[in-house]
Amino acid sequence: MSDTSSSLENLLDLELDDMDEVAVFKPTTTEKIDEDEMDSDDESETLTISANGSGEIRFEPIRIPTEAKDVPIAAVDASSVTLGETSMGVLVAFRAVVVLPESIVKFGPFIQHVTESNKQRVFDLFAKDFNFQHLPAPQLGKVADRLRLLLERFAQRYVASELRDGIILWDGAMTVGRSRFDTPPEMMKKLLEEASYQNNSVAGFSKKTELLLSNGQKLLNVIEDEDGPTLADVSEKIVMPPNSTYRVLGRTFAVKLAQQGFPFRVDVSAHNGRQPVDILTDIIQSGNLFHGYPEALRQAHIHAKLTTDEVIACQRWVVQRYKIPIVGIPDMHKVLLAPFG
Amino acid sequence: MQVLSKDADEVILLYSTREEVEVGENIKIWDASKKRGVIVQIIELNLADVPGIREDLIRNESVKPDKIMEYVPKGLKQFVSDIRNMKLALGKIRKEIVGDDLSIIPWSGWMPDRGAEVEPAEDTWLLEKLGIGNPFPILMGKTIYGKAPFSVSAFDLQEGGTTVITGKKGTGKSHAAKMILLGLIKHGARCIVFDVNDEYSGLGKTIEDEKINGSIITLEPGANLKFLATYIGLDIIAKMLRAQMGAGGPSIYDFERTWNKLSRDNEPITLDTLIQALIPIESDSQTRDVSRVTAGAIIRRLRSLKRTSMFTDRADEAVTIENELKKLGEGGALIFNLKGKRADLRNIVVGTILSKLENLLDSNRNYPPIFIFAEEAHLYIADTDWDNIVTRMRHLGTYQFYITNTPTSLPEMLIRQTDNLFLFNLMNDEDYSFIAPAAHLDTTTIRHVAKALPPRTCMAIGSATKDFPFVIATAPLNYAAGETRRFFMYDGTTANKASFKESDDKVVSPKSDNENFAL
Repeated sequence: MSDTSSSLENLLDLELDDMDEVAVFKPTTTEKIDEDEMDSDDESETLTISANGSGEIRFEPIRIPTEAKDVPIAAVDASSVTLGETSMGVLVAFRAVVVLPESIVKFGPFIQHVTESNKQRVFDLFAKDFNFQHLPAPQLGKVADRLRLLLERFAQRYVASELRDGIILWDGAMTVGRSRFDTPPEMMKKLLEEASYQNNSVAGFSKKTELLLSNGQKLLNVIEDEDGPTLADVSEKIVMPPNSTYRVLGRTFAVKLAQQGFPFRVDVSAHNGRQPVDILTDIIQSGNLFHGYPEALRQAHIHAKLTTDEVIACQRWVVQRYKIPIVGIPDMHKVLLAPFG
Repeated sequence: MQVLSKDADEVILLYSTREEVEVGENIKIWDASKKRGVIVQIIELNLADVPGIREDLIRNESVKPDKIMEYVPKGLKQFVSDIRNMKLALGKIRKEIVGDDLSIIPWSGWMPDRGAEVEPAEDTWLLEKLGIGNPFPILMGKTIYGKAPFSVSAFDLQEGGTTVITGKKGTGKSHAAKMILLGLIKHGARCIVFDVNDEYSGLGKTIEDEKINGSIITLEPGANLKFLATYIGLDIIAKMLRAQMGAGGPSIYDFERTWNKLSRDNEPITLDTLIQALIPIESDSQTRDVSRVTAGAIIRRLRSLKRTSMFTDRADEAVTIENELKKLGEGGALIFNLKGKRADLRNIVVGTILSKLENLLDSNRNYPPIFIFAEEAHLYIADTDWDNIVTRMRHLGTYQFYITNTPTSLPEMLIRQTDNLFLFNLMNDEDYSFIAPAAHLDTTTIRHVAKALPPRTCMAIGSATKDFPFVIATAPLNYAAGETRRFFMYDGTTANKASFKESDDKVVSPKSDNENFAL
């Protein structure tokens, strides 16, 4: 942990690049902060499930043992925002949060000034300090999201070492191979392996999914009318396009963990000889569900979010630290398209 | 600090925790390019509803702080705290400032733009510009935030005529009244105090200690305050019998007839001789029943008056208001100690003093004006007398100070005639609404400012402050207050109970008191 701490502190207190060359800073307005806030992506690639209608999906009730079971559950989430545009690039802030059974650890907000000329260096810096491999930097508009993802992977690795004999909850699907900018399969596999070293299993919850049945019906709509707790293992029914590198690590389920709960897609990577269904049963047995959603994951999301007042504080911190002038550059959309912009 | 918005005469200022603003403080918004500005007085402070603050607070509240470990950039937490604690100050525009010399004029409705400088207005500068406190200054204390010495002018208090000092118990209203009283004495004025709690007699020592050139004379009804009936006169006693003691018309007629007969016969006129003259009428079986009843009624009232010990037949122990006022010389106060006196006696004393004073001032237009301090005046001034006191007596040269913790007990007519108000913290919204016309201010200001006032702090407004409300902390003043009889005693370290002797606990057999007249 001490290595992690010093590494984090170094990154947190890093002088921002090129700030002396910034002529103007246009902070993101409070109205736009919420719109721009980026959370973990639920999977976004549309894939089909080879089932023509709900009748072909087999839902099974989850049998909950009567005896209580206290399973340690931890959760990870991250978020990012664009603090504003500068004359050189963008100022971004991102934060990851780990909810452990007895405590909450917040990493960030990290604040970075990313420009076309330094974006790869910034990425390399974070990847190196987080002990990840080299990743190509994306275009400036995606920088905040990709740095957030990098930090989230770091937090996932952190929790893997902190929790033992438990379940780690990720926000989003456990998919790999969508984009060269995303987490490469090797990194994901390594994260799951590190979790398993301490006898931990991992479950990735997606609040929405693009998985469709072959008749066009949305997977999660199919489960709406089912009585919970229930699940359907759809892992074998996902149809991969030819030559696709897309892959799910673990088994994919459509689940409803509580009687009146919401449905979710859950990818489960079970370890130590346990079955994925056992992991879902343990989550239910923990009793900490909010409308069928794990409370730990909910807390992780709540604490990861950069609230508007925090964003304003970050903007002010940058302005005062680097003495950069603020300008209210008119929003082109509003000017050109008002009142429809 | 920045101007956030304006609505009518209200301005909302936004400021951070690094800046300090207080309710009652004055803020100058100055547009240097236009040489124009306004003075805004803060009446309410609020936390700004910063976007995102609600979810942030809920989030923080849901987990104990010691369960959270955070890695954040150095200094960022302070910035987050600053944003969370951004504040809004609601102010009222009081005056406008114009020109190179920053003259203060009534507000014209003009408003500076957001680029104007926003800074605290120095109280010393404001007091000087408004010309407050001269001539004949009476130091009241300091402005609460600017800490500028604050004085009111005795001349302005006099020009106003009627001053109300109000606040709930223990807030310091009597203290403020004493400061004004001492100030007036210092300037050579003669004052009269109706003191229901024996709070003022101790000022004699203060005058001695502070070497003030003036005197305090305490007069206690029945002890060193006794009058000859002839000094009080037929009219005043008749009025007293009617107004304070409820005597009916026929009884008053009998009384007047008896008084006049004694006068015609050159007989001494005392309560005893009046009673003796009326007894034959009451006991004469040949007299009509009605006359016997009315004579009996007036005899009972005269006996009741006699029991007050306020009347004497001996000229050597009798006092006159004129003589007592003369003893004050160049400044001083007659304190009429009404503490522990029955309501009817208080009414008689005050009624007598005011009537004599009215005659005195009316008969001699060169007589120096008198400043009257009336504590809880509703306890001894009859409803029917207010009009005369507030209007006629004022024009005759009595300048009046009413000190009360129950402003609603004062007549509305007096509130509307009030020229100066010293407002301490009050208990009820109803009190604030009632007193608002005396301040010539909106109820919002009155409520917001007065509710936030700590003890010994008041809002002063009126002709003495050029109608600009100032919040002042009254200066300390050493004086000995009258003692309250207590059963439980505590000096901060030792607690005791009052002890009684066997002889103090007398056994008394119940008997009717036929001597009391029916009111």
